[in-house]
Amino acid sequence: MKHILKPRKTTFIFILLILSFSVNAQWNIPDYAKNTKLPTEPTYKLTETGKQLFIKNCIQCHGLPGEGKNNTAINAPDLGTADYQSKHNAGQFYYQFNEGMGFMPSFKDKLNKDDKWSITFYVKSFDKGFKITGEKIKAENCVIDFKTEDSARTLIATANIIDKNGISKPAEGVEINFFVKRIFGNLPIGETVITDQNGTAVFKFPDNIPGDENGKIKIIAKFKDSDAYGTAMKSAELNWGTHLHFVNPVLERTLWGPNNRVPLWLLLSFLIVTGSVWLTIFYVVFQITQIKKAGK
Amino acid sequence: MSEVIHKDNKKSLSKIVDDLTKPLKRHYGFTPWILFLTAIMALGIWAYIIQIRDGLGVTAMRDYVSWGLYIASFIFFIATALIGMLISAVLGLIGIKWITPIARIAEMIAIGFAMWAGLIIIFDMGRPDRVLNIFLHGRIQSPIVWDITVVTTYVAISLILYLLPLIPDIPFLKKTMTDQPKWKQKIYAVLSFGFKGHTEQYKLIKRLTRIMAILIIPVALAIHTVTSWLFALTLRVGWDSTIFGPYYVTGAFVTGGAAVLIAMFIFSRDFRLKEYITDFHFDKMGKLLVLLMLVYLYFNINEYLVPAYKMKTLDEHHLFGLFTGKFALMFWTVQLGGLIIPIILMLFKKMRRPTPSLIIGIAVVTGAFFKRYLITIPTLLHPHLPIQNVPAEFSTYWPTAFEWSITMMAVAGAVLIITILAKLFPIMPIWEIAHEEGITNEEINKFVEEKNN
Amino acid sequence: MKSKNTHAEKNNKKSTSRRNFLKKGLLAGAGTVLGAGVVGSFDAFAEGGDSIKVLGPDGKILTVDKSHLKEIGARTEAQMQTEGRTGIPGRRWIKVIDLGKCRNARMCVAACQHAHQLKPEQYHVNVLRMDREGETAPFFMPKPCQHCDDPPCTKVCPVDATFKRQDGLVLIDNERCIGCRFCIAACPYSARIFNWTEPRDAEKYKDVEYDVELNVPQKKGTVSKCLFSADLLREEKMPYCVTACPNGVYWFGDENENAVTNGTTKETVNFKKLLKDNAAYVLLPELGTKPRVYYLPEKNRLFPYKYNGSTELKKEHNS
Repeated sequence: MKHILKPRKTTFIFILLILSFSVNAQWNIPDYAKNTKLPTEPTYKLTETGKQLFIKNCIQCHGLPGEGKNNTAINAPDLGTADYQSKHNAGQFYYQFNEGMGFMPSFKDKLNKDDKWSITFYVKSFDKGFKITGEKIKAENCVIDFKTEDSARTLIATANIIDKNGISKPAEGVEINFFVKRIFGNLPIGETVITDQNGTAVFKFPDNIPGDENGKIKIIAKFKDSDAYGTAMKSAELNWGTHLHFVNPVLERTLWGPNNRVPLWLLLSFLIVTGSVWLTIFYVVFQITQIKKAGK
Repeated sequence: MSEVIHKDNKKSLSKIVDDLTKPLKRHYGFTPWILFLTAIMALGIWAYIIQIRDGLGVTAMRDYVSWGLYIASFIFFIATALIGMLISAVLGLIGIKWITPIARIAEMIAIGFAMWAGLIIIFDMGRPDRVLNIFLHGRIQSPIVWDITVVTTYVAISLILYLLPLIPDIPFLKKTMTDQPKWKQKIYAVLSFGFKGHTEQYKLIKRLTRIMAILIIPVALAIHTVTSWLFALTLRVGWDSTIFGPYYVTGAFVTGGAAVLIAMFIFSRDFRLKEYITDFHFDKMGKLLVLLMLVYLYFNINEYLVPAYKMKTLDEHHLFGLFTGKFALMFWTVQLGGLIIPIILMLFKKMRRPTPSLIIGIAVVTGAFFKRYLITIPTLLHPHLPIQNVPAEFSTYWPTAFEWSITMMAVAGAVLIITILAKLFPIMPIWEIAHEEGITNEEINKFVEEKNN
Repeated sequence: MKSKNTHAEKNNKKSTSRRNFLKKGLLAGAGTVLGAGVVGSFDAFAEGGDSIKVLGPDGKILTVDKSHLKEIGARTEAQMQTEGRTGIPGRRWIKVIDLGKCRNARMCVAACQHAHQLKPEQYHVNVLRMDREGETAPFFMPKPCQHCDDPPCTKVCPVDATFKRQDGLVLIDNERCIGCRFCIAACPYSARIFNWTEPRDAEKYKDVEYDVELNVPQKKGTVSKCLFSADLLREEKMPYCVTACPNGVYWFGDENENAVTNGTTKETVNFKKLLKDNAAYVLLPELGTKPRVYYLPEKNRLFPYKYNGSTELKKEHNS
């Protein structure tokens, strides 16, 4: 018995050591991860999808890569640094991100494979040596515009690419999103539209978007893939929104309202009750002064 | 209704006047007593100055238990004040005779405690310097505004109800108190309102007293009902109850009844009025107290049994805190020592004699005070959402020396008002007692004029 | 007190522009050139002898020359009172709290306490450890004021110190509050706090003008509460807690616009759709308070519950 116990103890301590190391954010990335085959060719389109997903899922702790807004309290690295990139190839990053460790949650069941790879490609796009294929149109060369057709509440968007010679030509297959301006940000509305060979796309404006008292609303059109097509946008104020019927609840007579908005039943009851009691009191006080008279 | 008062040995008018005005002149032990009360009040004033300087942080109240001893004392004071209405109005109006020597004592208790109840609310305020805001920006929707209205009204009516039956006593005072300081005589001169003992004047005073006695009934019910609403109108476990109004009113009668018993004992001994406040009166008052306590017990059973049977989650925490938790000792002491045992004891005639009555009265009043404490504090420790991330002191409460000092100042202040009134005016209506002894108005007038010469 | 309020009533809307320039030019501390009437930059003010303190961004105190500020300053506070009571027309502020995202980082609490001059134990927003009955899993729940549409707290206020505005916010005026604490007793969410002693850094804030939309400077002996950062909303910015959250817990917006924006990711979504898709609920609906804060249930959690090394919730009832 004694002989068997000893080695067991050592194993136990050894396991403890490994555990404590891993708690200290010592990532154990197996070697095979490094050689993971990429499921698809990384394209600019995929990195853009990855960026959107990154913003939703990762930005809380890591910040945008390269911006240094990562949360150091929980050892979340800035994923855009050259140091990080040099130590993690796409496969290694994917492994880490899929499995999770310590504060880093596992995304195994939270995202599907395509999305996870999109995020991987986006993060790796900060590695200069990482090759991304596909067409990347220079942002400054793209313009967006739209016309309105009031009768049918339709927006006709056009996307054009301006080439080196300054000649504008329609951009085909470009995805355009529409937004309405809200107080703290732009609210995406409806489906993404894709331009045809003339560079135009038709968007039917929904009829249930709240506007101001006059139904006024600010509509914005942007390229969905802003990395590829640039941040050009076009906005217009239209009165296509629903009209706001603002009823000021404070003006009603309520129990929670201000002192000049007392419910009438309460005001009347209060005044009648206190009034009649105090009138009686005043009557009695007056009568007390009449005692002398009564004695004459 | 026709109570037969033992009239074996009729008292002469001169004896009555003598017995009732002598205590106003006899100052044996008066100065130490006033000094004692003043010392307590001085301590309270010092505590209050510190409280003003450093904020309510000197109390044990914190964000969860944000109402503490002051509010509990406030309800206690309002409760004690309510007895004035029951004795002088309700019993008086239905023609019960044995209350004649007690009615004015009850009124004095009502005035003293109602006035200080209003002051306690000010002690509890974080910004007493802004008290005028209640008049500048008052919201009729707020139960506090109702409470202020009704407390003011009650004090006013109680004062009138105290002063009105005093007027026919003034001629006696004017004549017998000639050796007293000038300022006292001035007060008597003002308060006589030209009363000359004319039959019309008696009639008028009786009529006005009757009006006030009727008026005080709804006002008194309102004062304590509204006070109970300060709690019942919130969404808190333990306060969110529909029987809070009657529960408080009956509780108030118990408190006030016991307070009257104590006062009766003290006055009958200290003022040497055993002939006027007799064992018979103690017996009657004791019986009345048993009745009131039984009604209050009934409301207690409703208040605790009904939620305890259902045991909603939050009620469970609250009730177990009372029954078996950290308030259990206080709760059972109050319920048994301040209610159930006094009921059982007072069923026996022997226990309704003066000395046992005094002891039971003290037990009931003390119990009533801590009952208010148990109504106010445990509920605040059981909010809907948990108490977390705050210092440990936030989830407990026991009043600090500052709170006790200020509360004791209020008690001393109320007693002081009663003392002063008892030293300025007879504690029983001389004329009513004379009438009961069969002495006519003519005899009274003759007596007053005789003395005058 | 009284004179201030009557003053406030006299100075109503007509000096809006003036206030705006003051806020942008002075309070924001940008040191920009001010409009007509007052010439010069921020530095020019500081050169004067007598100086006054104003509240800068992030709660910093800035010193400005008094002679230049006196007249406008008085108006500003008066105006803050009137505008603070009226609210922002056309808006109905709304907050959505996603419990699946909260991991008790308490950045919201810190930002809030910093902005509102609160002590560490004073919470306008508190993060509670909760569970439901039985075998349910514990979770973290940020709890601000619910800004009820039928507020039990303003019902009971005797002096109109706490009030509800047309944009849905429930505010408290520390210049009027008498400190009766009835509102604390009335609030079923324990959302209100009291200044039992001198507030934090009272000396530092001594000369700062009171802003009813910020509850700063805090006043001893008065009640304070979550204001949804009404001062920021006036500048079309999201509340302190909302933008401080690192985990995307908070959504904030205008119900009238049917949109809420996430304080962390700045993503804007359809408000009603967000509620519908996530089975949103409100706290203690049975009390009839009609809260303006919605909660998304604690599902699909990114972070497992862990508090003081324990994954279980320790019951802390004090019965």
